[in-house]
Amino acid sequence: MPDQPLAAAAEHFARGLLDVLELICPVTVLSVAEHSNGQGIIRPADGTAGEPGRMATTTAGIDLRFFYRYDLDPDGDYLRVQGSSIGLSLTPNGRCLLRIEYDRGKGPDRPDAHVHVDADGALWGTALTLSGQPLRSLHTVHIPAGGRRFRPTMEDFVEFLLAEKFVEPTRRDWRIVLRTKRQEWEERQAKAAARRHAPAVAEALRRLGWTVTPPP
Amino acid sequence: MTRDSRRVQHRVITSEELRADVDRVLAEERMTFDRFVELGRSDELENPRLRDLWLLAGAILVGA
Repeated sequence: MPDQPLAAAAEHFARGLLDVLELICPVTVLSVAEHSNGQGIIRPADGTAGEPGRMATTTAGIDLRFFYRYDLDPDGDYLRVQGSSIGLSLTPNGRCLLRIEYDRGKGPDRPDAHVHVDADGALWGTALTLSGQPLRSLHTVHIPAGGRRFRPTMEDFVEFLLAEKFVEPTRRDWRIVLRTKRQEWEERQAKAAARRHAPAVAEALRRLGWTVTPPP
Repeated sequence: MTRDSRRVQHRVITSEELRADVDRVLAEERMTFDRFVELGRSDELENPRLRDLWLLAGAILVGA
């Protein structure tokens, strides 16, 4: 386990990610690369420095394409994802059919967490025309997905691939693994939300009968 | 060495390495670095490969 806080946090995150990935990927090797500016990248080991790699799933021809760019939160305690992409791509041409993207603090006009779908859609074309926009591919549309705190995770994406039968699970208890990992994620996010909205959380806890004392 | 440690490879990445990768992809996609940064900052990159490149490497290079 690395000694530095960022590396240690990334190692912990990567190990949790492996638990989920190995449900649908026979070979799971991750690269954790750190930059001197305090950011790092987690991605499949076959990627290059600036490009995400792919991980072959249990279905030949369907790959998982993903990366996480992260730093440490201001308190230096938790890994904070600054940008990520989780997608489904086809091996022959590398085309990414579906991506869940997260771009923290993107700005007021774009949701931080959003989905891109690469598909032909005549009805979308009609919507663009009716709203006075030039025709463009559906994959350029940012479909909001849960916001910063409760955005879709790798667990959700893997569950989607399994539930929709795009891939086969490597183990029979995959639902239990996903449930456990998702609970860990939700608890981490709940703690982060509590730090960000402490007065509201204190009020909620008091209503539940807890005694909550503000810090001095 | 544990089973997990074999599957997580740690390394250091440099700006020069990132920039070389970005330049290689931009050359293939026929885009200048300045244009890439401009479109990346305003979230107007439509090419999924370039979107990934921005989100992964571009933002580190320009401190976005």
